[in-house]
Amino acid sequence: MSGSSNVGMHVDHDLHDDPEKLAEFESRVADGHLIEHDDWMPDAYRKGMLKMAEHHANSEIIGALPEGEWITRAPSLRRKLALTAKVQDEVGHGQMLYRVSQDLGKSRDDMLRDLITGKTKYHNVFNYPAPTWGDIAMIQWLIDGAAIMNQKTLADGAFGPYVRTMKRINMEEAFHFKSGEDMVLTLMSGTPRQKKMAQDAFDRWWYPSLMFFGPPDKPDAENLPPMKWRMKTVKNDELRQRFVDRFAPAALDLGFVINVVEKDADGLVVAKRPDEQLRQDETTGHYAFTEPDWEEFYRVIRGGGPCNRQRLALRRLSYEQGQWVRRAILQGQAGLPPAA
Amino acid sequence: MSKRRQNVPEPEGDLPAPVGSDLAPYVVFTQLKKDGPFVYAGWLDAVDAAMAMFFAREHYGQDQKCTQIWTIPRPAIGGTDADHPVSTAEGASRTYRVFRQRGEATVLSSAETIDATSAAVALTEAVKTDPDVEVTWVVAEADIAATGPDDLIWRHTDQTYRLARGYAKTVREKWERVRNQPALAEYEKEELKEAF
Amino acid sequence: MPAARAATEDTAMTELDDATRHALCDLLLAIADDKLMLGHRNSDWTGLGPILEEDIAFSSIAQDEIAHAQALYEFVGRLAGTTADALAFGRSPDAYRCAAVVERSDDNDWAIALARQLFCDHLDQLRLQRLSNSSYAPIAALARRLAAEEQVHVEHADGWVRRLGSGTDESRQRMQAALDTLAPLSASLLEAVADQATLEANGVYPPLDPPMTATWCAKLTTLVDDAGLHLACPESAPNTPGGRRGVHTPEFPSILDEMCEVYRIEPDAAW
Repeated sequence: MSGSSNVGMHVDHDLHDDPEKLAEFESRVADGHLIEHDDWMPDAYRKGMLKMAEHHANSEIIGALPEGEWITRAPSLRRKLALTAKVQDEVGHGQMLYRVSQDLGKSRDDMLRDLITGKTKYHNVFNYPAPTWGDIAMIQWLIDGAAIMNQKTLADGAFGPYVRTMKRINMEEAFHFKSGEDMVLTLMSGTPRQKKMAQDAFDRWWYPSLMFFGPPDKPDAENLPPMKWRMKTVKNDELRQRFVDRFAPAALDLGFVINVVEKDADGLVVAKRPDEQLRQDETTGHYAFTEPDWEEFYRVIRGGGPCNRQRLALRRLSYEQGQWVRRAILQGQAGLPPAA
Repeated sequence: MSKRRQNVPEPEGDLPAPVGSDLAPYVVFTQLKKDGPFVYAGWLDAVDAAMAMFFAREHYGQDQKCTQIWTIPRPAIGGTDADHPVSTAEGASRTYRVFRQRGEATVLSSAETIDATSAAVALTEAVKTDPDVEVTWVVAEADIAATGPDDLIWRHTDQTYRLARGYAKTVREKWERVRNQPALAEYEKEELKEAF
Repeated sequence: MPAARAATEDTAMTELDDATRHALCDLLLAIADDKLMLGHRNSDWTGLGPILEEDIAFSSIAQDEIAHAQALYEFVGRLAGTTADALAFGRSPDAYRCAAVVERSDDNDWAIALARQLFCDHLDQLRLQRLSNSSYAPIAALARRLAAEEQVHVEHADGWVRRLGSGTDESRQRMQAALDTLAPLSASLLEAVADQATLEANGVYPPLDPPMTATWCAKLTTLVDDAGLHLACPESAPNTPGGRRGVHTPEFPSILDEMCEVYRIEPDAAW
């Protein structure tokens, strides 16, 4: 029997959270213990962790698509190998996170079907286009940089299977980030055309990176279930500030323009690269920045982003075209060795 | 962008019916050094043991250099955790491999073998030997599939392109050059002032 | 790379006469270009494979193909005074030596991708076996290193052909159709490079006994029969010049345009 059936029974038995058990659960979490999926947990916690792990898995699978578009165009053999390996890692992360979710009671096939029919979501950031090679460098530097910052805090969470998977994923993300850093450094040490390609991509990805950490926190976030139960451990706004404080000065070091307003002859603003407020506050030491456009954020989540339809259409095509292969191995004669 | 990824038509109609169940789960252990323990690497889904082993080699076997891989079908695991109920069925004596997870945040790794007439007896003995651990598993050795001595896992071609350490040196050098650029420009300006 | 191995592969690049060196470069480019194109096509499946686990495995194999091409280009680069990237991205279409079968798109059909891999992997294994016995020690050392990985590829392709052959009616039909489509095209793999006879005569690329083509056909036919499918394996190269002489399929320039799109923005820059 697979573990998923055990999980199903737990949910049946615990329809009503027993206050005594809940108190014990919360004190275990507060003491820094890990929760395993055969432990008692509130129904909302199990559902919440499934939603979180499934969303994360979906994000890895869809996240493979924007970068995947550039594997055939990578400009050197080493970059071609590295980008293929990086996208492959994302598929691997998706597979591992679907396994965590399967153990929480939902089949992989159901999750893949819910993803491509839009019943479940994936990370918003993958609904933006990657029109140049510079975007690939920027995704690996900024977005993977943001992902590592976020996932390091998720690895301090309370749900054992998810925490262990996060630790593993973070090890692999170190390669992604280093390779992204190398690409950005190479472009910014390169020709004027390469530098412009990198700056344009930086301008495109700065705000999606800030949005990556999610919308502003609710007041009292520390005492609401996601943080109280250590499904997440640091507030969105705090992570966002950490990200800006780390990447704004690094961008300056690299020679990026980060707070320049360009005006035309009539004094009208024609471009902000990328945020005129992005500068260090002498007294606090932190970098100030303009809040992302949260209306845009919600619009993209609801399907109104530049690439939502394109991403789901390609993922669905892949699912439908792989159907006969899955059918062949599930319904065919099993037990054949892989080679003679 | 490759042609296959371009202009994918908007999907029409319902999804084709599901093909059936998920594949079966297997757990993968890798041995990083000859004679060292086999350490938990992860799970994967496959239709049978041969497929599981191939997938394990090409996924977990490529994470870092390793000498051997074990794959185990989930139903073969008897553990102290509720996910892996232990079989009490008695039979002829078999050899069981013990796996232990020492701390909450660590992973399982292989330990001694025990000969016993059931998985439950082996598990009881394994727990008695080392009671102070988070999770103990026993698996009949016959249920563990292993790579052979001639199976290539880690590749001979240069793999540094897929490891963080493959970038450490060049990234450090490039940062130094980039960071020294403004300083160098200032320095050259000063020098010019002196010269003229 | 261990120092000893590097030394063997690097030694005595000068001991070849000009004619042999040119012929060897052509042969290695044929193998490397096949592998690059195959890796290029197959790496494009990353993220789109039929099962997540297989997606990962197929991508590992695609990376091997590109890494093998890279190792061979580096070798040719040392013989011809150029770099691997300049060879991979900087040539005009008629300077490539790849076979028509690797230039063919798989049209998102997993069976075609697999059949393409099958024909190529089995031939690669034999080509590397021949080079492993080369009288020219540096290429023999490199070929032995690459041959070990080729074994993994062959196991993968064989395993899937068996599974699909013994799967459902649909998988049998699809795999059979893919074999039927690609078998005639796979003859392009058998074309000799210019002056290959020189390399065969002086032992740099020694023939196999029984000959390579016969062994290739026998292995493929046995496997395909065993999988419950059938194969009309080509037994010789087409009579007209093909990829080995720089004559390519009409779609080849557009494959290069895509592959070299970024490289050509600044061919002399580091990327």
